[in-house]
Amino acid sequence: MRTGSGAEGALLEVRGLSKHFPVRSGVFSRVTGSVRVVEDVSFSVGRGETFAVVGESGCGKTTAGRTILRLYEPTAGSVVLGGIDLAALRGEELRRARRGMQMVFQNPYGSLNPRMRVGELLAEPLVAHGIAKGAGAAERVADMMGKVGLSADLAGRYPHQFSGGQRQRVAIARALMCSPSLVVADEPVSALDVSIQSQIINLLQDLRAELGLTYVFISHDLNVVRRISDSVGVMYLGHMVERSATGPLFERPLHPYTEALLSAVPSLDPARRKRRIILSGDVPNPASPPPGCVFHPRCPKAMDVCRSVAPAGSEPEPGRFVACHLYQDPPAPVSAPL
Amino acid sequence: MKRFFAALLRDKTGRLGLAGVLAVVLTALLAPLIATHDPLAMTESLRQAPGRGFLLGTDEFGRDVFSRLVYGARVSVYVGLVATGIGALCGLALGLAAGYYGGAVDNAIMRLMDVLFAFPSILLALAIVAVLGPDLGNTIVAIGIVRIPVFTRTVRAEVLSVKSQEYIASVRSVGVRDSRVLFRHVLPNVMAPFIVQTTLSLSSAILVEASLSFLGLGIQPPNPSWGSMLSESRRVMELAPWTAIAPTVAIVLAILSFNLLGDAVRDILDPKLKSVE
Repeated sequence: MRTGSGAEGALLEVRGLSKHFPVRSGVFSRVTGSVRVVEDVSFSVGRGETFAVVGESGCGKTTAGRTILRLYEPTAGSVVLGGIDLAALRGEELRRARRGMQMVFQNPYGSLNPRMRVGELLAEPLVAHGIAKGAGAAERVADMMGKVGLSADLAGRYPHQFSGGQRQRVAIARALMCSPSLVVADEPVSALDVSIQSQIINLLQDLRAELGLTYVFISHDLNVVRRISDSVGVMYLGHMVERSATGPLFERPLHPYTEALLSAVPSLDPARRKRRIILSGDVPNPASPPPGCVFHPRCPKAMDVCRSVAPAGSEPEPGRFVACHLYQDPPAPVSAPL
Repeated sequence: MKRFFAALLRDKTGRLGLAGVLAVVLTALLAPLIATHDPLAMTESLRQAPGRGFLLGTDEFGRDVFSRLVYGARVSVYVGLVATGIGALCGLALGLAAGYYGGAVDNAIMRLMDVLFAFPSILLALAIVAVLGPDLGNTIVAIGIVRIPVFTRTVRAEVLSVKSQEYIASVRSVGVRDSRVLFRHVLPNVMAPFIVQTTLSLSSAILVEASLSFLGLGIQPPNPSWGSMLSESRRVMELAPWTAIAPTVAIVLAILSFNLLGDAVRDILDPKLKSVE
């Protein structure tokens, strides 16, 4: 079973990753607090697998993705990609390591420099990593444009001459130019028309099979996640509250938040229709998270202990990790890191 | 580029401004051909009213006002272009560094700019010229320095906005070198407001030069400059008003033309800044 939880053969190992943004105030911009956008997130992804990170807006999924790729400096934790700890790399070493990890951004209207032709945009990774240039690069660009379903004749055009779906194809092509092993896709289809979304999802699926890619797929679209991911991590207010193989998670969510999240997915199958769990209240401000379990103010199953003690991770079933007091036996002697 | 000029010519303001600027620049370039007299030669017809022989009359030393005006255009255009060039290039470099690197670099540069900015531009230029000594080169340097903060701020603000764009995060994630990100991705995207600022700055540089020359710290007599002509005319203004009117009108028209051109360029390159009409 591909659960993505085993350390053996994992391409990407994220351990205790945290990202806090400082809050500055006053005349001298002193640091007066911090926003804990990502807090102690751990997971691993096996080679060729797709790990989905789901959660509502503002839960830290995007920041987690960007911190993994060192677009943000992690506050704590390690990110090991193919045996190399990315969090420890500096300067030129880090730049070279970027060859193996790429990102597809959410908004294809913003992620392509409007003043560069598509051909130049696609050749840039090749030039940056000294893989090819000139005619050699042009050949690879044409080849990759074919792979993502764009005619190579379009290389001389500017991004604004493309539709949203085509731009996202360009962005995907660019991410794949230097044959990365890991691609972090940050809501790659949420800015696109629904009719285009499935095309892009299919493209990502085909490319994964063809090129042996490993994806970290950040999304709030649970139907897409269910379709394409091998395992899923559910984030709430910077914490990863549940992590599991996709099938079991969708069949029987353990964490109350996951349960509420899944109950919001519309289903055409009446047998599958569940009672909608409507959460009350808003997501708390991550600058001042509630004490105890961050989810307790909105949790329908909150207990006294939830208000004061943050739940440690536990593994109630093999390969399923959940951070919730409901699944901790009272003594809770062994706590698996989550 | 072709489209830019087409748009400029379509625009009424642009046409007018461009015509005025071209007139001033051509006058400056072709001064020896246009001038009817030697601008420095004194004649015996002192304070002669405009008419035959002297198109715009003569000043108190009997020098031809028209010819002096034509040569004065040279000074204005030369000082305007070179001083703006100095200010623009220094400002571009400083603004890019401040905006892109941020932190201590940003703080150091911007506080220095705040200091420069705190002085009225004429006062600062006066002080610099007073230190360096009055001559053409120093006037240009002084005006250039005065213009630096404006460019630095404009460029920095734009760099900050461009830097937060997703395509910059995207090139960084690709692994492109910092210097290339700066010059290939940030710089081209800050050029529009920079060019607009440059065009608009030309007129103020010309005005500051005229003011300095008027105060006797710019172009030294007997060389003609619009500011010094105006200054010299003060003594004979009642007797020979044309000596004051001619350079005044020249300054007004030149500045108006540069401003109109600047406005038109801004409307074309930077539609965000277009004022609500």
